[in-house]
Amino acid sequence: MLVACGPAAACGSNDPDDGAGATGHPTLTLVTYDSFVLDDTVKALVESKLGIRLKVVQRGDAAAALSTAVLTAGKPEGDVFFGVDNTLLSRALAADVFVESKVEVPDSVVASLRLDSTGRLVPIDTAPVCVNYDRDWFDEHDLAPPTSMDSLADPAYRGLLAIESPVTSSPGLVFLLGVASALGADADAFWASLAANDVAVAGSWDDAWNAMYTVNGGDRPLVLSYASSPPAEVFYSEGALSEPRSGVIESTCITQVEFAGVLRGSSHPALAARLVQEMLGADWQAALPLTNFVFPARSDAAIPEEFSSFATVPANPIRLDPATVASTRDRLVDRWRTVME
Amino acid sequence: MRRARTLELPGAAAISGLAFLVGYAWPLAAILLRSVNGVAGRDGLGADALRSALTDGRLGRVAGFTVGQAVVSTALCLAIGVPVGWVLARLRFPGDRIAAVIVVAPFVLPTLAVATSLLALVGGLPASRSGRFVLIVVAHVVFNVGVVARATINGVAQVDRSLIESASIAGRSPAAVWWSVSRPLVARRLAPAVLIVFVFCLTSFGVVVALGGAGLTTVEVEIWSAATQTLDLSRASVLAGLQLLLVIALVVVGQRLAVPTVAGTGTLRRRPRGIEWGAVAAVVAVVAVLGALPVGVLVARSVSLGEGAWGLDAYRSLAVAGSRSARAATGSDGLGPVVIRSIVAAVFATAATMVVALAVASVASGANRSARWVERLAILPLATSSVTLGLGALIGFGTWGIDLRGTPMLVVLGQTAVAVPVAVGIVLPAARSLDPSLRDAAATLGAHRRRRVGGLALPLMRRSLSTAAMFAFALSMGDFGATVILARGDAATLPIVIGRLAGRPGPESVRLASAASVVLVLACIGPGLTSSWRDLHSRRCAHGVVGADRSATVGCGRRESGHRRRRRSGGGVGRWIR
Repeated sequence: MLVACGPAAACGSNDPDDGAGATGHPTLTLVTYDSFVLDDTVKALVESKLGIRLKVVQRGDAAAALSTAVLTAGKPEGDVFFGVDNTLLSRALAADVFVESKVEVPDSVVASLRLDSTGRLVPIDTAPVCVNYDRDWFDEHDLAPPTSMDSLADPAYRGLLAIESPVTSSPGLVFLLGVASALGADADAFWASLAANDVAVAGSWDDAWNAMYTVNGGDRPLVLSYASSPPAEVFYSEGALSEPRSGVIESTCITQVEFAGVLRGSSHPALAARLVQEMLGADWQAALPLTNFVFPARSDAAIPEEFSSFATVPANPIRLDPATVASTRDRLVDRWRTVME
Repeated sequence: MRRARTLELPGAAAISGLAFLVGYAWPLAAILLRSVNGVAGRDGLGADALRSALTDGRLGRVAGFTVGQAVVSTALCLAIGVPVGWVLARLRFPGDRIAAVIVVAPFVLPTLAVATSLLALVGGLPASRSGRFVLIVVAHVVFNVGVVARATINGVAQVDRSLIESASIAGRSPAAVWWSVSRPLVARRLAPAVLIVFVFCLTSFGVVVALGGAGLTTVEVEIWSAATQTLDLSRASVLAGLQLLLVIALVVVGQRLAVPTVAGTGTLRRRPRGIEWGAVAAVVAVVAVLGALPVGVLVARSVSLGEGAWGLDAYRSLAVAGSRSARAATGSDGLGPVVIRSIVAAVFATAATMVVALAVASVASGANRSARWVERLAILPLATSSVTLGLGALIGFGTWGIDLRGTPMLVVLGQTAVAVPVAVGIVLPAARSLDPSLRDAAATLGAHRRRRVGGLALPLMRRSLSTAAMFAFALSMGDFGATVILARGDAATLPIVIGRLAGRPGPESVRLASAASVVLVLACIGPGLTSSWRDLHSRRCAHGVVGADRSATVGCGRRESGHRRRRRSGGGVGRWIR
């Protein structure tokens, strides 16, 4: 087992199991979901600081990545896992996938993000999941965009909304649980009328945003995405847009929190914990807005203006209660599939 | 009477038994055992889980869609495959032999490659469910129409010319002769092939995952989704069990339908006359579309850069992981290591498959009751989805003391389990058709067993063995269902890379997926093409019996003695494919 490995130290190059690369640095593997983007500069910084080579393994959508981690628990595909969100937290904890990592969570991470009291999963970022709308489309059609969760099922918006499936997409699951939390007993009726209102269900966020949304050539001017989608639009337009074409319907926003943890069975648990600690470091946190379009968990992290000027910070987002999520999630998904598929 | 085996391999029974336990029985048992307790807070397998899986209303819809698309796909395969097979069997025209080879070629194409080519053809996943349904059916037809055409060819070859001649002499019109003599004979030959096509469509995975999108799922995809997305192993077990029972029932029916193989009199083929040239043209068109379109579209899309520009950018991008999409799909080292890894795994899986297939064929080549059972057990994995096999291997070899997770061995194991039934289906009829009198003569002349196997039996089976190896390689190489579950995230194979790319919208992803598919198709059918080509040139001695049951034919000259001509051949898939 490798315990201490200072920066630039040639670590355990005699041990074939330590994954030492040609440089003599051990390789740490970060397992995550497909759409995660690691900033190259931050990667290099962390690698030299920890004396490691950092490899990223992407394992499908967030739910599939976690399922793989559960099925390979104890003999993981990497050392650190990033991408358990507040909807799947209880599943990850119940399956005994992670070990306690003794990572120090800075005070600037607000209490509402610290959802695991066992010290295994550490909050890294947060992003409100919200319905976005195509501003131009609604202008051209002389229609006011919906103003509440309920109104999405209004016949005036028939055939206009695209959401992601809660089975295969994490914003989809956040939305399902958010609807349940906001509408309570009326949630079932809401889904039934959404189905009657011809909602389109995409398999992934990519599919919904890039293929179904009118802004990107699809035929749905309402799409379930993030509060940070408008700044992402401007950023990716590389100068073509000076302001976003999408607006955010604030009353539909639901808080999503993403966590990282050290996988049980990692051959470098101490280094892995240091990597998680780095994910809460200033560099990693500051790069998150413009690479993954999420808000850093640390409220004192520097947020680039390109992000802050167009990102919506919902005043009063729907918050998911962890205990309710744990006890209702699987049942809600099963019921959703019965109604919607 | 207990008959000696025609293929006498040492340790065959032990190898067969071990392979069945390791590759099939234990993995399936492991899924059941693991699901009893539930995973990650999910309910365990029990009366409640069973009830909720069976009564939640979704099962009916999913099963309905599964059976519906399989029925439509099979019907279309029949509607196209039978006329094509009939023309190829009865008419002689330039290029007929090549057409008979090409028509089955799509069967060895990897599912994801065909799915990608259809996506590329229509420009991305259709938004409507009906559009996606059509794509799924078209993909299934592309794959399986050749199986029906081949079976028709074989069936027509079985129609004894003397029967037709005597019927004609008796004054029946050609139409009446066709209806009362040829049709029933061919139909009986066709029934098992239709069944196997139906089973393939029923349990198809890669096609439905790639073309079904959200909400359009079959039982097979549902098993995968329950196991890997919602972690509902109980539901996965229940569905896998149901599907297994249904397919076993179908396979049993299929074995009852299997008819004795009769060496046909062949050479009923003649030159087309008048309007028949129209039929020939239609067949050539169908075969050209089947053979050229999937691969043609892939090649075209992989080099088209839009707006009339062409280039190898997609291949370059994959090779060096030059773009974000490419890097996300291949990993930072590009496609090279992926290709090598895929080939190495497929080579090992092919070797393992051949060892197991030979052992099974040896045990089953005795004509006693236990041989019949061994044959049935060997076909079982065909009735089990590749997803289930993969999941079973992951669970079965990931706990309880043995932990192979993360090792390449597990991928090889999964691919072997997928390939063995098909290889057995090809090797077993060859082993059965070995003439026992040759073996006995050799023994009398003092040849030891090793010499009888190595010097006599195996060389006689050479052609079937190479066909089986080719199929095993193509199946292992192209396997998606088992491999996607068993391979580590950083050890993707080609189909997994294609799956990742096909799931992303946008023209670049389609281009990259097409390029990766071209690479996969080359790797898969390279060995097959070479051997088909060699075959085509060495088949002169087969006297125009296109597609005569090759696997049941020993060498080129038919050395079958009279009493052996009516032998039941194995119920495996080999006969329907080749």
